[in-house]
Amino acid sequence: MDALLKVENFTMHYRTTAGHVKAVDDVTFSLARGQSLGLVGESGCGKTSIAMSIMRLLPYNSEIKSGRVFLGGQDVYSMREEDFRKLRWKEVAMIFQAAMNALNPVYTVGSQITEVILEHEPAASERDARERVAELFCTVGIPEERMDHYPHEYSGGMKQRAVIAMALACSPSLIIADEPTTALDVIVQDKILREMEEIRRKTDMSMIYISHDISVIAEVSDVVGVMYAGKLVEIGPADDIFKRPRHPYTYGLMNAYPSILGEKRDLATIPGEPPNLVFPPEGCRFHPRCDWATDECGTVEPPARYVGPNHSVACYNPFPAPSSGGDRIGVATA
Amino acid sequence: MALLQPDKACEPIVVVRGLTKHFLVGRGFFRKERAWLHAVDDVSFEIARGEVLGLVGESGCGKTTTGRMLVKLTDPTAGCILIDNEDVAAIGGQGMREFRQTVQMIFQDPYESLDPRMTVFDIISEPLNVNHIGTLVNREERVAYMLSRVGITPPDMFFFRFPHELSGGQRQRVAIARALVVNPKFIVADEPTSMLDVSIRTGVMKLLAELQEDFGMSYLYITHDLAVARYLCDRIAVMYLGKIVEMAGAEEVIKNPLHPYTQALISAVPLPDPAIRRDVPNIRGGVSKPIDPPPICRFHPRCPAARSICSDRDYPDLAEVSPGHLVACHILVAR
Repeated sequence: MDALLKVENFTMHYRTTAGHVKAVDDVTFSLARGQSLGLVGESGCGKTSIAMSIMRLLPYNSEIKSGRVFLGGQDVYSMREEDFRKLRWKEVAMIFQAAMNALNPVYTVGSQITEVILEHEPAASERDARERVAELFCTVGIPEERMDHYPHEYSGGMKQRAVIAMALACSPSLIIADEPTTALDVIVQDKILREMEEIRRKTDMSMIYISHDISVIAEVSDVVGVMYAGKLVEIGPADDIFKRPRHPYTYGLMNAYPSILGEKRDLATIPGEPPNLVFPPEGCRFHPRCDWATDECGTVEPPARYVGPNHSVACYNPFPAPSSGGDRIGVATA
Repeated sequence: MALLQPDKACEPIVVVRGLTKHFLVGRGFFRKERAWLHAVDDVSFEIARGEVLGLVGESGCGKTTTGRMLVKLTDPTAGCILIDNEDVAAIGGQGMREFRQTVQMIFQDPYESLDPRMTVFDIISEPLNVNHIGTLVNREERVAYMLSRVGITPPDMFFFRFPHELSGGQRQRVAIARALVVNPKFIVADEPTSMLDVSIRTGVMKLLAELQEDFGMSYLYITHDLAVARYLCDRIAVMYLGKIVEMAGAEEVIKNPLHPYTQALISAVPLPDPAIRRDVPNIRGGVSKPIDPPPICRFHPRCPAARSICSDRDYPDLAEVSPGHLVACHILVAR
């Protein structure tokens, strides 16, 4: 399959006064054209850091220790900054978390999107660009006449739509949506997610959704990646991950959420708290909180290995597939 | 008096009648007319002793304002609140101290609700100091006990730490301990878990449920998340633009929602199962602001079931359609 995006053994640290924060550690994944990937994890697990790495928008105190990022076959970090800037918005665009702050308050929303188009397509006239913006507004469901309004005149949902329109402006092949609906109410969230999925299906774009909400990820992703403390602990087809979670953390995340579905059930708690990434635990970063950890887990980091088609997990004692009928705890103590 | 005692257990701890709060808006330099935002409009409900009532709604629906009025942080425009048979509006002076021992609040953001210059011990013992409860030794024991109850162990390790040395989950646990240290009878919890991470959130939710059972308090639990309300609450009240539109037992609201708004709200909740395709919520437009709204059903412009009576008649009252299930909708009640 033709991979649009490849991230290979990517490791990135932030230098802080407290020491190096090991924010992203040896992360590998790829994304095909037209596919959607959902990255799920708690705050500080490195989801946004990966997005920023792909966009090449890392802050000055970041340090790439190893690994490479390929976008459409090109190595992102071997390019000159000016060359990559041409790809940004045209090849890869980002919908930032907190759309409220992603728009400039002193320009009209329309003019901010026209600017993106004019910057990347010098051949386009201002009139063409405005027409394009009108079309984009129509696609994301904002009335055309709102083009000349300022961000403060928009509601939260509309600002989010405007930011999506901006990401779509140059028809990129990949859009990274970082918590696109976190600040919104459920009904608006539902509408926007549906619209984004429809646009993706129509245009054959690839999408990376980043969220802490596993339910949102379940609704929009073909492939799901679960991150914990800078590690991609499990990645695989969405159906597989949700039916047969293999990593104990994935399992914990899925059972920690109350649901409105089915009968009321007890919730599983994951003991403890996420680690400080300046001094991450030895071995598996999840082992201090894992009920099934063995001595091995605390010493050597578990490598990612395949447990099914396109489904890999970094755990010594993954849940067995239900067909094998093995008892989880039995395996761990054996 | 003694004869009245047995009845007390059956009396609700909180009785709210016609609670209303209007905020003045638009009194700007350029805008001369006055306008009123009807944040909470004629809301009535009761909370039984030991009961947890969930107040659910989207942002701006007035749920936090309602909570703040119950703990007397905001004064109502109209209506009355009785907590433990006492009129909240009439409380003042020394009565306020006693009131604060009966009613406590847990806030949403544990990063802002704790004083950064106070140690954990000072934070939790302050309500005791203010009310002159116990000697220093008693207080120390009490604080240690509360800390261990909220899962911060060993307590004496945390006595002299400052909030910045704690994680988000620990801070919220300290805030819970502070609210519970005076043995309140009623607690308003305003989205206490929404700022916490998933793996921490479940722990705090379980803690709240456990403490409620052990101490037998009543809660008003404010949340935007129906699934959380289902997990923690006995009954759920759904608010829309300052009005309660539906109120019933938690399972009843989730399994058998009657008001079109509750139905839309439930069908919009994302589900953690990629195999399920949900129906599109049958609802138009977005939430507006209730600034000087006409006295008709506030949901009717977005309602899929709206008919002419919805815009002709006054606001529908909450009416019981089946035992314990109240709905404010002309169409449902007419049926």
